[in-house]
Amino acid sequence: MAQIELSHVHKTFRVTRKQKGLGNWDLRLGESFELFRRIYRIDEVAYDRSLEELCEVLGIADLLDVPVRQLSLGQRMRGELAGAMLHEPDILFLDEPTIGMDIEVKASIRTFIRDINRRRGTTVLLTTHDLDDVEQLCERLIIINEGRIIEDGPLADLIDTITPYRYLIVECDADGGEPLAGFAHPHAEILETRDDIVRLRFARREVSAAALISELSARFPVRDVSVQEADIVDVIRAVYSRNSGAER
Amino acid sequence: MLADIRHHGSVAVLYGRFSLQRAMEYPFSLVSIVTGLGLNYIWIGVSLQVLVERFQPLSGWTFPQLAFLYGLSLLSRGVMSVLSFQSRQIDEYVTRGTFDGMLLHPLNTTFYFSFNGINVVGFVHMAIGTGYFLYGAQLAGFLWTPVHVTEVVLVIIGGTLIYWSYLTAISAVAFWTMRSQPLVDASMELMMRGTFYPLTIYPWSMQALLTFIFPLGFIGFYPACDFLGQNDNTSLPLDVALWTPLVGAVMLWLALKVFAAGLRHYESAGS
Repeated sequence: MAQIELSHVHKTFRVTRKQKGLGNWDLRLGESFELFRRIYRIDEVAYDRSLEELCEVLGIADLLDVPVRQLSLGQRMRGELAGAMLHEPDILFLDEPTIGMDIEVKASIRTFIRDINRRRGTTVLLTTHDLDDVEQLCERLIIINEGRIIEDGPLADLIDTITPYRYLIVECDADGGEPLAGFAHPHAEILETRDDIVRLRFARREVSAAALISELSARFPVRDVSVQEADIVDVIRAVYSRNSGAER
Repeated sequence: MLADIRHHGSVAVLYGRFSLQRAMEYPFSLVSIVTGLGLNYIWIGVSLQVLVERFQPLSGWTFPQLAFLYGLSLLSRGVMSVLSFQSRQIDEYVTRGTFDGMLLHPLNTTFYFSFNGINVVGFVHMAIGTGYFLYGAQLAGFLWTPVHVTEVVLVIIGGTLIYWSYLTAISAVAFWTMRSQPLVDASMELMMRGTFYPLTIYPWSMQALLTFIFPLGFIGFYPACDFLGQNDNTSLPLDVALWTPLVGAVMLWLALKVFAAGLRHYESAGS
C-alpha cells in the first residue's frame, strides 16, 4: 500500500462536519479564520485574497465579528465552507452541507460548491441524504450500503442503466369511469390512477413516448399528456430494492 | 523540527490570546470565579493555620512551612491549569465529535488537544500559590540564592509535568469509555488534597504509594523538605531539583504512551 505523507493529506484535504468545523463557538467567525490561517500556515497575502473572495461569494463579510454561537445554522455552514476553503485544498469533503437549511441557503451553498469546483478546480466529495444536492451538484455518484460500494459511476449513466424507463402522465375525459379501462401493453404499466389522471411507466428502449401516446390517443379519450424522466430518487430506490432483494 | 515547534507555538499563543479576550468579555463571571476560588483557598489556609497554631504542628511542620508547601504545589497546579485544563473536557470532545476535527488539522493531536486555549482560572491558582509561597518562604527561612530560585523554577516545571501527565492520562480514558470528566475531576481534587500536606502525616504504605506509584510527593512535599531542611526522614540520593523534573519527564512519557494507546483505540462517536 502506498505511503501517503500526512502533511500532504492535511494540506490537500479539508473536511466540514455538520456544524463542527469552526471549533470553539465562543470565538468570532473572523478569529476562527485567523486560527485556520495559522494552523494551515497560509501566507497573509493569499489569506487576504482568499478571504475577500469567499466573503463576497458566501455573503459573510458582516459576520466576521459575530461569535460563532450567535450565527444561525445557515450562517454557520457558510462560515464553515469559507473556513474550509481558506487554504485552497484540492479535495473538499462535505458531510451533509445543506442539512436543516432553508431553500435560499441551500441554493447559495450549492452555487458556492459549483463555483469552487469550476473556478478553483476543487474536487468535492459530498456525503448527503438530500437527493436534490446530488442531482444539482454531482457528476459522479457512489452509492454505499452497509459500508459497501454498490454503485459507482456518472450520474447520467446510472440513471440510464438502472432506470431504463420513463413516466407518462395521461389525463382523460373519463366522465367518472375508469380512465384507461382495459389498457394493456407489453412495455408499459399503470402505476397509479387518481380521478382522471393516470401515471404510466414504460420501457423507453422498447417503446417510444410518441408511439405510446399515439396508441393511447387512438383508444382512449386523452385530453393531455406529459412525459417525465426517471430521476435520482428512482435510481436510489431501484438500487436499494435490488440490493435488499439480493440479500434475501 | 524548529519550524514545527514555532508553528505549534504560534497556534497555541493565538488560542491563548483569544481565550483571554473571551474571558475579559464576561467580567462579572470572571470576578465571581476569582472571588469564589480565592476565598476557598484562603479559607483552607486559615483553617490550617488555626489547627496548627492552636493545637500542634502537623507532623512537625509549622504553618509557614505548610504555606510554603501549599504555595509550591498550587503554583504547579496553576501553570498546568492555565495551559491545559480544558483537556478535562475530552469526553465532550469525543461524544460531540469535536475530537474528529482535532485529528484532521495539520497539528500534533496531543498538542492540539492540550493547548487549544487558556484557562483564566488557573491564574487564580498561580496568584494564591505565589502568595502562600512568598509568605512561607519569608517566615520559614527559605534562602533566596540564585541556585535556589533556579531550583524552584525547575520544581514548578517538573510539578506541572506531573500534574499535566495525570490529567492527560486520566482524560484519555474517554477514548475507551466515552466519559472521563467525573474521573478527571475526582482525581484532580484528590491530587490537590494529596499535594498540600506533608506525606509524613500518612502511614508508611500511603507515603510509598504517593512516592513510587503516584509520585505526587515530588510536586511539593520532597522539594519543600529539601528547601526548608525538613528532610531528616525523607532524604533522596540526588538533589530534589533534579528529581522533580526527572519524575515529571517519566510521567510525561507514560502519559503520552497512554494517550497514544487511547488514540489508536479511538473511534468517532459518529455524532
